[in-house]
Amino acid sequence: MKLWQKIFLYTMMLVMLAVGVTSILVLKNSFQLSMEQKRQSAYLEHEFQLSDFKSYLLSERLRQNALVLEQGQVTAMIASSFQEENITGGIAFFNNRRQLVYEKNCYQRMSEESRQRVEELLELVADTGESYLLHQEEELYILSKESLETNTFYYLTITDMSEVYSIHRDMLQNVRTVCLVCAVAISVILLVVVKLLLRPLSRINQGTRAIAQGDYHKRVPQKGRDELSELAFNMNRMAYAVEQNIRALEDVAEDRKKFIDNLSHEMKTPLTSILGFADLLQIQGKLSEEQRMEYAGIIKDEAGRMRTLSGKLMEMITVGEANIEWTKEDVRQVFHEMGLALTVVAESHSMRFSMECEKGQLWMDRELIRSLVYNLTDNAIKASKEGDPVAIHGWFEEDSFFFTVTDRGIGIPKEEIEKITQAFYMVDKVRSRASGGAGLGLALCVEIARIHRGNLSIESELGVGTVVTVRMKGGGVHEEAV
Amino acid sequence: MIRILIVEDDANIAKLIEATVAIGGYEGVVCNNGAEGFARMENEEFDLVLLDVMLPDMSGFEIMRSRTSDTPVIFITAKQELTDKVRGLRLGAEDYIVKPFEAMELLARIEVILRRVSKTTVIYEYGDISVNVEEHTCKCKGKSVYLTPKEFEVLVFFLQHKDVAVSRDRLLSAVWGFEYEGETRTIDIHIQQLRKKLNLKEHLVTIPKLGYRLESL
Repeated sequence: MKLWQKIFLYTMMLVMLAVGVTSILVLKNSFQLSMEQKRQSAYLEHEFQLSDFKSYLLSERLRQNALVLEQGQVTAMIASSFQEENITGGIAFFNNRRQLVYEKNCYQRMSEESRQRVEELLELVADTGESYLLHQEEELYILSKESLETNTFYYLTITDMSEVYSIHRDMLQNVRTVCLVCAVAISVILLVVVKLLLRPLSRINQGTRAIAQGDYHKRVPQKGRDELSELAFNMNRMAYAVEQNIRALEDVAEDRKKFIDNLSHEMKTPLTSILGFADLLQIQGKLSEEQRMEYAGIIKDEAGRMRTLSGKLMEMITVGEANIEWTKEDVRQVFHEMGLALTVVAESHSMRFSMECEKGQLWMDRELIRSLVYNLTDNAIKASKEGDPVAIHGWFEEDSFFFTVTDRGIGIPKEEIEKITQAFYMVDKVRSRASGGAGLGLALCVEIARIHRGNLSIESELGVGTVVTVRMKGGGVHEEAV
Repeated sequence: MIRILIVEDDANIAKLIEATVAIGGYEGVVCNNGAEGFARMENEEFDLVLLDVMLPDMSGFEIMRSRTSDTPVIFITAKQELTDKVRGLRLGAEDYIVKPFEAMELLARIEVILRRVSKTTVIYEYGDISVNVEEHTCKCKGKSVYLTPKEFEVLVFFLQHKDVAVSRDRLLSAVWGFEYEGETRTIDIHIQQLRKKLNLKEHLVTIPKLGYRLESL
């Protein structure tokens, strides 16, 4: 069941219950009240008629100047007196033996059952001597024991109460009608109100559905300051967060796709040469020794390129994985060890290599740092001519370790500086390949610096040289606590 | 002689393509960047252009879009996704070859296109043998020689690939079609027939474990 249906139904039920119970209680109360009044008036009339008759009896005795009146006389007087009286209900007199002596539009029309009840009542009154009221069907029976001129009589009056009952019935009918009308009216109003109140919810619902279907830039409308707009606000925050994450994921996927594209291009180029020239060597009949040597040379070169590429790729994979070994090392010692190896490399290219480094501790992965320094120096050497200086300088400042690799080589064009850290980007493809580059070195360096909570910046001028500055805080966040 | 422009930034691959087209008897003109390739395409007459897609300065797709000449173009690229292929062909390229490729494949495709624009030779001369493809006739020392249709096709294939070691499989797929599942014995029989009918015993040589080669005179 939908929420609006539930709200509607429950409210409706409660309202109708309240209205019904209230009106029934009120009705019952008023019925009892009018019943009581009617009973009072009936009793009063009963008493009044009797006292009237008693006074008539008294005056008659005085007129006859008798001491007491005989029972027969009294009976006769009852008949004569009440015959004339204009009485709405019925009356009946019984003598001391509880025999009917007089009755007026009463006893004959009584049902057998009523008569039975009257007999019981007579007995009760005879025993106790008190007056009794009895409701029989829609009539009120009042029976009292009276002493008239020393004779005992029982006086019964019957009052018609049907008016009270019919009024009650009418009112009941009215209440029912009113309730029904109320129900219809309330249901219409409720429906409108509930629908209006819940309209923002359905809008939120629509918006959420759109977002769920991948429309991550969609937002839910938020108006007012009730809980629903709060919900909308929070929904929007959620949608924003989701959108951010999705975008980040898409960026990652995009980067990866680009990487794979570049990778497949970089792999296929040497592969094409290798396969192609091998094919030529196999199928071409007349091949000069010179050509054969050339083809074989190309195959060898290109295979070397593939080897460089796969090596660099392996390095990248290792960097990307979580198996980094953090150790606290003295930077100076690590750099010094590398310096020995790098000096040999630089000297084989007839370059002047110098290195100086401050003493200090840094959380690092030794292998990665070596790879970082080696890659940067390798780049510097490749960019330089014979006799040029290549220098590494390291120092501590604030909470970070800095080092620069400086060369006086060919430099990098300004517009290329931003792009050179991208994987497979080469400023000069021909030259890079000639010196065995795969275009992955700097991307690798950036990644290593990032792992050591640092970054890499490049300053360069064409023909003047390049300074690469690496800044590292060292270690991951949680390793510092170790 | 048929001239083919090769636009390819990788020097080794350019050399490879040049050597490959030379086998087919075409002249390859190498050009190692997009802009120069585009300029030559616009200003010079070529019979075919082999165009790399990923060029550093101007991509093959760009060249295709801005060119005005209607020289047939074959894209040669490392991109093997279908969308790239469709894009290339939509731009008006005749064919699309994915790196790495085999020399024979490249030659076959070049030939198909040249035949389409009817720039292939119809008459092949080999010593005193002369073959006319259109008339489907073969003459040896001025006298016509009867060849079965398959023998004729095998002969033409060898004439088109002089000095190339042709494997039996390659010959099967070229002459009988890829779906032919016959034995390679069939080829040997045809070769023997050709040798006998045209007196090619010394020139149509057997290469052990590989196939045959028609040596140029």
